[in-house]
Amino acid sequence: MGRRKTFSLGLTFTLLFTSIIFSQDIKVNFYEKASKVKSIKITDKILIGDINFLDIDKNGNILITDKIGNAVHILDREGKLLRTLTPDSCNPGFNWRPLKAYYDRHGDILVLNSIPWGYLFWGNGNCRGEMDITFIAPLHIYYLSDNSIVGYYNLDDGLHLKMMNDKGKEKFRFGEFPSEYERILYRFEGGGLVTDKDDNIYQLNLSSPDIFKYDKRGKLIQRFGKIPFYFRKIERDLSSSDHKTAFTEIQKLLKDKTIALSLFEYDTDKIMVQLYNGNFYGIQVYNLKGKYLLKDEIILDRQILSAKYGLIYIVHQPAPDANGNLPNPVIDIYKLK
Amino acid sequence: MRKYYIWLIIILLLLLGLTFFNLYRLDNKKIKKINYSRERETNYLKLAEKFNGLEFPVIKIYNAINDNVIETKIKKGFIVLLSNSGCNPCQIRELKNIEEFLRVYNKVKDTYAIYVDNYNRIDALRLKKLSAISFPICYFSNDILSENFLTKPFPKIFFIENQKIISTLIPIPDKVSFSEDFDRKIRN
Repeated sequence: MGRRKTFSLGLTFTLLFTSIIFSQDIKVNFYEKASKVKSIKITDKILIGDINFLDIDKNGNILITDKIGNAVHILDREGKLLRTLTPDSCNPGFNWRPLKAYYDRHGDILVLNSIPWGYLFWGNGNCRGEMDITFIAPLHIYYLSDNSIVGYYNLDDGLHLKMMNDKGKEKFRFGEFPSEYERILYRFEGGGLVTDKDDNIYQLNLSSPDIFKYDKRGKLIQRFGKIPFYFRKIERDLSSSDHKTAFTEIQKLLKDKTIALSLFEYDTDKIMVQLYNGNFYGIQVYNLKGKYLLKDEIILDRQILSAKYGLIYIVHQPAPDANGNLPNPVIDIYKLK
Repeated sequence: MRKYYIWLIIILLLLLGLTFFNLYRLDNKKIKKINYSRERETNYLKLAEKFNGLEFPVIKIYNAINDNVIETKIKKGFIVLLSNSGCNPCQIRELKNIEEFLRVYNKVKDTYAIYVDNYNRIDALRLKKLSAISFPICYFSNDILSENFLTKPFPKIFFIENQKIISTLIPIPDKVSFSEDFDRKIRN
């Protein structure tokens, strides 16, 4: 009798728990929670393959990296081409393979490149010169107010954050990383890195929405983060970090799991986390003290490429015409209500 | 005075020694660089040679624009095998080279670019857009091609006459001159 009672109680709780979980419907609500500021149609004067990375300066100029087209362009806020970057006039024969182009704190530009690892441009797009010979492109970079670079590295010499001068010369290393996901962090792109006006550094690893906050000397001062209801934890690390294992295991390990995809300096006093759940994206907004600022979870169906100066940038590819001609991608700009 | 001359000779000898040492080091670095570059080219050439003389089968491929079926019956032309795992800027560069070749030699007509894995229509149209090719960019649904056609690296470029592969290029990503050599060879 007692066993039957325990069993039925257990069953009731299981059913109740399951129904609560499933009652939290995952619906795209971003377009209700955010208003569209505008869409930027990029000039047809340039052919863009895809926009892989996007950064914005304080005047609203947009720096886009097109890995397929092997190009970096500066567009004004209306999508008019201001300049296409090339190192040729300063360094003829430079192996130009841009990965991500960033604005620094002075409005000048660093293009992370695939060997040599970086190239510097002035804000107007004029070439400036190469990075320090010791510089290797990190997964993410961000600038401090004195233009020092902090980089998130997941290379052979271990996971670390590195403080560098504006040319990429190392000053010191720091950072804490979840040891239980060391190999996934080494093999898979995700997470992010931003700084704030007081030069605090915020680090996000792909394995969870936890944010590690450091001061400019690299001392961990806070750890915060909110686990959303849809979060599904990655169960284990890769069994080995070699390329073959990563290739065969990664899809299985990350299937239906939630990864922390990116971290943005959404505004001068807010940071934004973007999560990815296989079928949808979720965003979280915190103030700089780590307080969660959203009332509800915000879910969207497209990836946010950047969020800066209070605006959210999403890129979409319009459909090709009947002859298979593909228009340039369109940049949609939103603002949270 | 004598002492002064002795010191002068010693210093001169030291400087001479240092110069020779530096020249030797410089030469060694250069030789190593040249050797590495040659070794890499040889490896790519060896890989490409394996395809020469093979028959490229007549298979059904589908045009990425309208899904029309095309058969790869080739009298004289190029087949370019593409993949999303390949270096996209290199694939675009090679497609542009072939387009330029076809513009000059208009007898080489049966040319197709074919996605062999990770096909995605938008990605294919992106390559078409950026390379501005006039020949079809296609995909195929059955694994009719043998494994060596389907394995990395990509792109693979075959110059074909009556289904026989006459010459193959597997481009070196960062070496434009290597592809230009192939182009020159075909022209001649």
